[in-house]
Amino acid sequence: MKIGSWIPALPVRKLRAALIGLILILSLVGIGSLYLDVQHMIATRYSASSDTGQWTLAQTDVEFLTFRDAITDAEMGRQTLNDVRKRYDVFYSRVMTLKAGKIFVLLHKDPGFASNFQQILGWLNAVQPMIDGPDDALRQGLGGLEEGSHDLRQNVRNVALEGLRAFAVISDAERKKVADALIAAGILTMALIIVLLSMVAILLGLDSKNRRMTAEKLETLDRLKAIIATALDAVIVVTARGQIVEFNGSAAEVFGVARQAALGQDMADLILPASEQTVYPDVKSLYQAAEVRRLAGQGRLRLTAHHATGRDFPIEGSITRVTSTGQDLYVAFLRDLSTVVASEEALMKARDDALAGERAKAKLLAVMSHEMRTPLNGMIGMIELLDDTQMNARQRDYLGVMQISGRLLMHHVEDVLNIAQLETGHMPNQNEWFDLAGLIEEVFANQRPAAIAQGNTLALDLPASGLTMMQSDPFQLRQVLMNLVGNAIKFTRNGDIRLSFDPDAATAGTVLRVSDSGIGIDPADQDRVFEDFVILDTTYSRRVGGTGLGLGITRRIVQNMGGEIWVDSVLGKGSSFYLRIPGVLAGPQSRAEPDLPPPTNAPNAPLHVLVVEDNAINQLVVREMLTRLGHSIEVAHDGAQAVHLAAMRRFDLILMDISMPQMDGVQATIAIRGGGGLSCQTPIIALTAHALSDEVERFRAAGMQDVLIKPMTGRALAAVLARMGGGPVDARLLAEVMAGMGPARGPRLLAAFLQDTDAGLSRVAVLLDRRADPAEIRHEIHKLCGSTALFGARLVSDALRRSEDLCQTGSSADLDRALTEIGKLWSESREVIRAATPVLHMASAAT
Amino acid sequence: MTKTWSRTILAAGVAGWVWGGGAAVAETQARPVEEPILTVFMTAAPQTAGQAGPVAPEATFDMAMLQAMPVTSFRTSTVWTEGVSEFTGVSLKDFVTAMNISTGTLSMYAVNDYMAEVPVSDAVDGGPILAYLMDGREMSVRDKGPIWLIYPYDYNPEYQTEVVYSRSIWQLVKIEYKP
Repeated sequence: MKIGSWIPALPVRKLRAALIGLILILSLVGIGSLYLDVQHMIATRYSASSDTGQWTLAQTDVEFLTFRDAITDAEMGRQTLNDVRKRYDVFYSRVMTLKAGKIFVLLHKDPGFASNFQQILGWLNAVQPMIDGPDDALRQGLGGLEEGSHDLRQNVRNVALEGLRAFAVISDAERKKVADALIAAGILTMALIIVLLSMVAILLGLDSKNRRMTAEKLETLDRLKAIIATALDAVIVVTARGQIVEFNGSAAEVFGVARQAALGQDMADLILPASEQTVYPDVKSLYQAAEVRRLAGQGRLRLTAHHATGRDFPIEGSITRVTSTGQDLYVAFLRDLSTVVASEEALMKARDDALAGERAKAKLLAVMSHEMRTPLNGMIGMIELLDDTQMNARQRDYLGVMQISGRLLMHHVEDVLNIAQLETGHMPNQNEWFDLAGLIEEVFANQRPAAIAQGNTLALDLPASGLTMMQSDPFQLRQVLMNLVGNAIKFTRNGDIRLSFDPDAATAGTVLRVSDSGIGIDPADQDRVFEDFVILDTTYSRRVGGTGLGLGITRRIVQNMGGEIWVDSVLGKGSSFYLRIPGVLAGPQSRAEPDLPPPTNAPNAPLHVLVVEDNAINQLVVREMLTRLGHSIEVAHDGAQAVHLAAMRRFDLILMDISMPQMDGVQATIAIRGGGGLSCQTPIIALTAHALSDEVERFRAAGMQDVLIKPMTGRALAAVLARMGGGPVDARLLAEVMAGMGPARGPRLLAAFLQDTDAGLSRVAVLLDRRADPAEIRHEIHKLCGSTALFGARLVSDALRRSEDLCQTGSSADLDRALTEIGKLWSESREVIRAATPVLHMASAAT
Repeated sequence: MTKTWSRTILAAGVAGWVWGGGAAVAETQARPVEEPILTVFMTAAPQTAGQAGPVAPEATFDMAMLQAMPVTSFRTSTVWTEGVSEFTGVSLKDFVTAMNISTGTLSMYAVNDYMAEVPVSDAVDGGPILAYLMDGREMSVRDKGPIWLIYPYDYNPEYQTEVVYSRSIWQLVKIEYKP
């Protein structure tokens, strides 16, 4: 509609109503003013004055002539004198009307009319005495009257004519006024008609638009009805009070209620069980709950619904609020979830079953790794100990093979564990220097018997550069090469197996190649070979044996190392497996200091070690290893005993098995650390087969310093011992210092050192009491720091160095506390030093 | 018809004036003492020759008789006079009531043979009067007397029309009633 089209939608209706109202009011005012105008015209302008005036003028002439006739007739005796008098009176009356009547006022302004009128009036007055006089006189005067009236005839005529002319002018003016009024009325009427016509046009337009809209609405409604009726979801339309106004076929099916029966019912009563009704008392609360879920991104609202047959079942739905003609309607789309929920539950059960399986597997792995490692641990430990005994060359060779096979067996056990670890990304990467060529030879040595059995030769091609050292994880790499070489041997008969490696400049890594002249792999299968449990030729596999896990594990390990693996193979000609792993090749000179000190029998301060181990074989292994290194040990068979011993005695080191019955190693550690016994500060090393990184974190949190992975080797044990330093005093350093000073000077200097340190600490305490200059205190501490470090009293030295910093930055209270701590450490260290240097006793005794 | 009308008038017992006319009883009782000024015919006077002879007037009135009837007066201006005057006379309503008529037309004749047709329906309260006094004085023929049918022009704009002006007959002498 044009009128409203430029105005925003909402006010259009109001504006249109206002416009129509205005037009109506204007029309009514127009009609009213027209009516008043005509009324006024009739009442005033058109009051009949000029017509009656004209009649009077005409009658003046007539009555004058009648008067003259009466005179003539009287003269001739045909009429009486009274008749003359009567006609005189009538004429006189007429003339007086002309004189007095207000409609004739204008005429008297006309000079022609006025002079003629005055003549008439003058004559009438002149003859009046005669008319009113006696009959004789009148009869004699009739001749004169006739004569006078004859003369007056023209005057009467003129008065009539002048008057008529003037009235004609007045009439014209009146007519014009009337015409003007009528024209104005006509214009107004036309305007009114135009307005009315436009209103009619507008109404017609509105009507046709309404018809069109109604038709469209009906069509939309029909379509909507069809959609609702055929919708797969149950659709229920409800008023704000909960009354059902629409209930489609699906709803009837879902809730078991016929449409006709449902209409007009309360929705909550019809489809919600009592329990849901207490939560959602009305449709509004239901709508709000659905809205909250939707806005929170939690999907559709889920409810328990009630079926006509009495059973309750799950549904989900969305609810929309529609406001039409000021009334809220709620449209609910609901879906029966019975089957969905059932399948969800089935899925959940399947998942739970699967998880239970996983847990069982993990448990099996943990048990396996512990139960198999423990005997292996003993075996490998004993082989190592056997190595130190007197043997002939052949025995030593056998022992070497046993050692390698033992380790390999251990790796196999770990393989299974590794799979789980690799899957969860828990496999820790080592990063150390090793000789790649040596590692390969080790692998070859291990695999050679199998290769010989198949008639294969093993060969290593060294790179042109001759660089063979690399920094990576030798254990993982060894396993990878073991798998690849083993595979190559399996699938090759009377052939060559060659291993080569070269630097890969592009990735700053190293590429290794294991080639064979075996049966090869079909190109279609080349991508599959790295998947788990893939056995390409079942006939063949029966012959060669295997789990099909090998290459899957290999791929995982390589990926864990940050590298990649791929295969290049020609069926019937052979295969080449390529590895690209991070780490560049280097010469022996660029090799960094090894992390582990070489196994040594060098003088090491004998440590008093508590070994906590429930397994007798392991106890034996550890005892032998430690004793061989010159340390004294005590053994605790379980955690409780360990806690007891640690409280009673002072140990330099505690080796703590983790997996023990009753109180495990972690609990024992916590008890020792919190117990405040003599060994509450003693370093504790975990002994465990569980080397998962989060476990290590747990050990550290409990108060352990380091971890030794079983099976324990003498080298690893030595490394840890060195790292620990064996207590407050670095025994090795002390021994070296003493050795360096010689048996003569050493004891003397040591005695002096002990005395000086005692005196120095006293001086510091005094200075501190006096609140002396921090610089002076610091100077004193610095001197002590140097001498204590020299004699291996490292804990005291470290603490002194820290307090040196405190002189500058800390408060005196902090310094005070630090010095008290240093005092304790010193008395401990002093005892250790005295105990470690029996010579000292003699020296001091001698002094 | 005529007789019935007369008898009805008598039966109405209008006191103070005598009804003249065809009825013998009336003739003996009421006749104008002075010179009659108004004659009323209950049927139209013959207009053409060949008809029955002149009909005797049904009633005649002298000034005293008119003045004996109920008096009505009002002040108004007219288009024929100067200023506002007081007119006194018999209201046409009282007059036709006395004549016991309610429909039809009264043909009124003046001295100068002017004739105006006045419908009986004009005879209403607040309507015209047969005035015989103007400003308290009797009117001569020169003053449009002795009887002048005056409407209260100033009171009702509807009386300011040509038709009403044409009905405002002066120098009235004769009334003929046409049913």
